[in-house]
Amino acid sequence: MEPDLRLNEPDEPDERAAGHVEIEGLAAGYEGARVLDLDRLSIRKGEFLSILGPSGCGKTTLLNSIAGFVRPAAGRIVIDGEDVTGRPPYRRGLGMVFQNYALFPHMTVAANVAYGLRVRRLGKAEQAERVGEALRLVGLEGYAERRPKQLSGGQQQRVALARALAIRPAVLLLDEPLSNLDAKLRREMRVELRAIQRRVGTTMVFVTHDQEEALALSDRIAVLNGGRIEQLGTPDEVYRRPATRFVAQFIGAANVLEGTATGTGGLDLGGLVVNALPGLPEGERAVVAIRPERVRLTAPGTAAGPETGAGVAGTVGYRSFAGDAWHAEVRLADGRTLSVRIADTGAGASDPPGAGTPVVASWDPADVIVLERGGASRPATEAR
Amino acid sequence: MGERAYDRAVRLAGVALAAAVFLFLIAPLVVLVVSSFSPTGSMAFPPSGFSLRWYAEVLGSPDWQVSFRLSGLLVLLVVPTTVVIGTLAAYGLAQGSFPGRRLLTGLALSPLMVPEIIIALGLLYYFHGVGLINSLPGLWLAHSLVALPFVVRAVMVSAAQLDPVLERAATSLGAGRFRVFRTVTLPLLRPGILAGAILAGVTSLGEVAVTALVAGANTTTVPLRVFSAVQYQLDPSMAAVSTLLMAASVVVMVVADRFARISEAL
Repeated sequence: MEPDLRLNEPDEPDERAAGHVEIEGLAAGYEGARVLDLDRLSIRKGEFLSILGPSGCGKTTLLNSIAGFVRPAAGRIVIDGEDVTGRPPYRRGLGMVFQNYALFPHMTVAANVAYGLRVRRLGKAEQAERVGEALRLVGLEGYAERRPKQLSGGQQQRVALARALAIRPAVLLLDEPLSNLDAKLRREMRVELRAIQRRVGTTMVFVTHDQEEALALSDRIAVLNGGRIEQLGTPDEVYRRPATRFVAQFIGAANVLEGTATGTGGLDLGGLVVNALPGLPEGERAVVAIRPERVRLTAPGTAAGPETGAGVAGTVGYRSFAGDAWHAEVRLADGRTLSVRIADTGAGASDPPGAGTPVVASWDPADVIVLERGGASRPATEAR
Repeated sequence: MGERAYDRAVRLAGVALAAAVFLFLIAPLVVLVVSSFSPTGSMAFPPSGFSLRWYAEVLGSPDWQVSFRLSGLLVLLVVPTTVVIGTLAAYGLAQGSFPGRRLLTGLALSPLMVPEIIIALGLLYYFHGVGLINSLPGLWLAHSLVALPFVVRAVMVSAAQLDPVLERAATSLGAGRFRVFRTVTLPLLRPGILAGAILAGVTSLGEVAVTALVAGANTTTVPLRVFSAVQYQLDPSMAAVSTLLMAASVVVMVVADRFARISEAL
């Protein structure tokens, strides 16, 4: 069994209960351009919440507003029932981990971790104890006297994590902390970060543009676009039931089709009819999404049975091998393309045909995600 | 084979050129140091023997002692003054964002762009009016003015490399503005501050143009005395003075370098 390395001690019930963040009507922007416009975001105690979105979506501004580095134009931020909106960043008691580690180069690892404790004027003995505890938590006990320069990127980020956790923050804010690491290390750190979070139970708010990271780490994901929350939900919710076209395309790069239902299980995209859709009344407008990994490719004529749906005919635009799968693009008659992902079976049996080959793309009607239906209007943030 | 010989020739030519330039740079200093140990009163090079009589003469002379003391005192006044003002100015100019920042940067560095004699003339007129000619405060102010841009320049180099995220990290750990400046910003600016301090010290120690106009009979700094002495008698005592000044600069630089490297390498 792993030893219990919880930073919160039982005799500190106040800190144990900490970590409930309420954000209301938050707006922030620079010189007229509004980069953030949140109605409401409630972060639960002890949860790992990812804020996911493309660059420029306002996710870093949101994090900096919580941290206090950005002064919002409107709205309230409440932490543990206390309104901190006007409080300077050094009095919010939050921890922060930065993309470039931001370790103090002129201090040893131990001094870095102790920085926040010295600010809090803790006794020497308690400082040493907490520094040791935090370094043990991230697996760097033997590195206390090193300088940041002597550590690898992954080790530096772990020191940064230890430094932020040593002050026992109510909430730990992480600003793309894994982006500067190479792919292998990033996967390892992902697992480790999650394990540490489970152990210490600190509420973590994690900003990232990497959907894979957000899916793997989070209790809940807030998908941000244009300064607004498009969807807030568990990883499987946002993946399986995306609320908007943006979420469907940003997470899992779904194919989005928009058209009018034909009443016979087809969707008229404007001249081109795509088959195999869940029953929609004739004449109703709809926007649907199909995941690339749900699309199957067959040779025309070998007709998939009616139970699998006829799909749509096209030609293979390109195919590329990605190790565990093939990525292919199917060009439809009207120039539209469908992206397709086919898991590799190893023996080459499932390889898609080469570029230029006519194929039929089909899918199970149950795999089709209806994003919007009815009317011509397309509300941006309407949950299903 | 021919190509290899050619490469070698090019490399040798490069080394020879570098050696020639280096020799050119260091030759005057070598001549000065060697002449200072001459046993005779002539400046002929190379000297005919070895003696320390010129050092004894210079260090034993009351006039020279006064000048050494004055120059030393000026360095002790000018360096802290310019380091404090220059560091704060450079940090603000490099990291701040306010209207007129570029203009102020130009202004802070302007004494570097203006011929020294013009600054000297300006100070001469001004100090005459307020009665600072031939006084220690006058020289202190004059030297600080000339040395300040060097400090600003040197610290700005360090300040421009300063990552603002480090200050944010310290802030997020609970440190207020002053504490962040003291514990994170200042230590990171240290290389620039040290370089600036050395430049300020050397500038004050060697300043002639401005000093010549605002100093007087009671305030003859070492370089001024050298300047006036060589006009009447050219003997190796001047070389001895220069060697002493040079030795002082070298000692300061070696100590500072050791200090800076110790703090960074560890």
